[in-house]
Amino acid sequence: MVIVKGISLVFWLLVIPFCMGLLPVRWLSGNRRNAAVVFVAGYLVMLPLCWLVTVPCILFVKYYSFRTMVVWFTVLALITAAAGVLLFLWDWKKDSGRRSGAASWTGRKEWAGLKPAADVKGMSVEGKIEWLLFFGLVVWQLYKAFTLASFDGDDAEYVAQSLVTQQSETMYLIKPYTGGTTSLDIRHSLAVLPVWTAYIAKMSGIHATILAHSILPFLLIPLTYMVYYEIGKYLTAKNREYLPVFMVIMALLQMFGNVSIYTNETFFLTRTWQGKSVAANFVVPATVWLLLWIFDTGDGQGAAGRERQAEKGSRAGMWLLLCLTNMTAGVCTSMVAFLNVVLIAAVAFWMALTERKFSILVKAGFACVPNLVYMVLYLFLHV
Amino acid sequence: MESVVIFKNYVGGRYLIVLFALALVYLLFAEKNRHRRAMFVYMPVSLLLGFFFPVTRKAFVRLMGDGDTYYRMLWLVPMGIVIAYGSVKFAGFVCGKCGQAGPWMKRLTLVLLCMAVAFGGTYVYASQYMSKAENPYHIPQKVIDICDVIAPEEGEERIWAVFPTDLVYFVRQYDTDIQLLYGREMVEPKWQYAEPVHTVMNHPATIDIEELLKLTRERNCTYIVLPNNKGVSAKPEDYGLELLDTIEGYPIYYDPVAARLMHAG
Repeated sequence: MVIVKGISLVFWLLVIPFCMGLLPVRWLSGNRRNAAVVFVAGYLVMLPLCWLVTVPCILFVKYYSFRTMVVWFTVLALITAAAGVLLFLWDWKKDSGRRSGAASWTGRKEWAGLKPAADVKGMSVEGKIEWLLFFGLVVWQLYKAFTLASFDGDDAEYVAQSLVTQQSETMYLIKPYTGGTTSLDIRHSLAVLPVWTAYIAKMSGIHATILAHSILPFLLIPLTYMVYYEIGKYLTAKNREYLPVFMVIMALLQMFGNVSIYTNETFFLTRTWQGKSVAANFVVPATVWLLLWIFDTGDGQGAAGRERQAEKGSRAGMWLLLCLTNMTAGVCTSMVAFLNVVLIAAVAFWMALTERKFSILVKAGFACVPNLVYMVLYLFLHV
Repeated sequence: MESVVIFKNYVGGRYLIVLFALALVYLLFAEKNRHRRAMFVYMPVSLLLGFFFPVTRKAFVRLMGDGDTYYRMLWLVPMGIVIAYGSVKFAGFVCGKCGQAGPWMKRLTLVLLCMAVAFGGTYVYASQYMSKAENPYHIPQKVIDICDVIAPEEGEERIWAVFPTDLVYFVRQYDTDIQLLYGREMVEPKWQYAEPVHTVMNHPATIDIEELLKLTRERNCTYIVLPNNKGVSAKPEDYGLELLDTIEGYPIYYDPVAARLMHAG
């Protein structure tokens, strides 16, 4: 039984998101793609898809809405993952054909989706030691996540919401604190991450509280570091030897960032499974990462600049991922769906000034359309 | 002024914020890539200025209907990335300036910066909110043991129960077939929720059993878990309660009178 649950977890938390991630990274250039990017992109597809299925079920299905959600989300998730794999194979075949016969093949479509995120060959001993140190810190964080329990009052709402959903098969109609019935809880019902947790719990047959407290940190902590890795990789493109140190400092900041109960670092390691934490430590860094990719031209200098010049065509993929990140923000918490607009607006403003291009603000505005739709829906349901 | 207080509470009087400010200033002068300067200097500074601007807070409260969460604006400032990026960039600068000794000076700089992060912050696992996990649920074992005593069997109706304040947070994270007369939202002092049963249970010294049962029987509550550190006004058994078990000092009672009333009504 434990083996079946384990396989089911691997399938729903690793395999399906990875296959889904193959879909949007099609529109990224080869040098951007690696296994970590695909995996992160997978969650940027899976969570919005969960929202698109869950919210109509909450609003329009009267009885046992979670059952309906499970059926539809399973079907759509499998279709999306299958589409990701099929398109990956199609691209692969097409590129192989071009590579074997045509001199005109430019390498633009080179498939690196399964390329390891890091290249161990050619790494100095010092670099290897620094990577070991970094992985040691991450393992320590995972060990602590499993062996320590952190008390947080919000779990009485957040985790209980997942468990109520799993056990009652209804969504947002039962008060998680007491169990009393209620009219639809609009305030929380648009941030559906607890439902996603309940879904994984249902599919794997694991109690939602065990899943949230003891298993999800093993997914969410590495997921955040994958985003930091991509940021660090980009920032240290000219001096790759500094990448492991960048990661070590990031890991230390997470462990020692508990300067108050409010910091995103505190949330990261004490409330890892909550939507607020996922928003602050996955969505916001992913937004910074994508904005960096989109706007940082390297001023035409260095490797990053040259690479970017060669891949203008892959911008669409980055904007698509940014849109998906905005949708993911709404999955986690309605507040960050709003705050992410502020972040994107601030960056777009400075980039528009830097490049003297007003069109940047327009494009950024389009990327925030999902947030606008979300906010309108939120206000509409509140009135 | 409120924003200043929120900011002070956020940074917690530790030196990590100084490290962030130093990284910001360093990147302002050392970062030649104007896009990165915009991203990691101008953007964070403008967000911070926006945070302190009183109108921003008013707009936030108006939109979110809640000023207590205004600190979350600070999540948008990529403090960690700025510190890490500023640090490796500074180490590279030191390396370049020190000639043959450069690599060693770079290592020394990075070690010192890592130490600055560690000593300038607070170790999360030393937090008062952290404790050894007693089970994979990460909730106190005593709650699980108590719930196992009172939880309905498969196919049976859900039950209503009363738990001491310190346990209500965890009960429904373990079993949602146990419904509570009052939950977390009614026990947090900041929400100032006056719930009559909780008022009786939360008496600092003695629980008035007669008053408690009057209220619980009105609401079909069949299980009562009393605190392990308070007295009672009378023996619960004298009022028809049956003691099922006592776990870590918490007496667990079944109320057959409430059950009879429930089935009769």
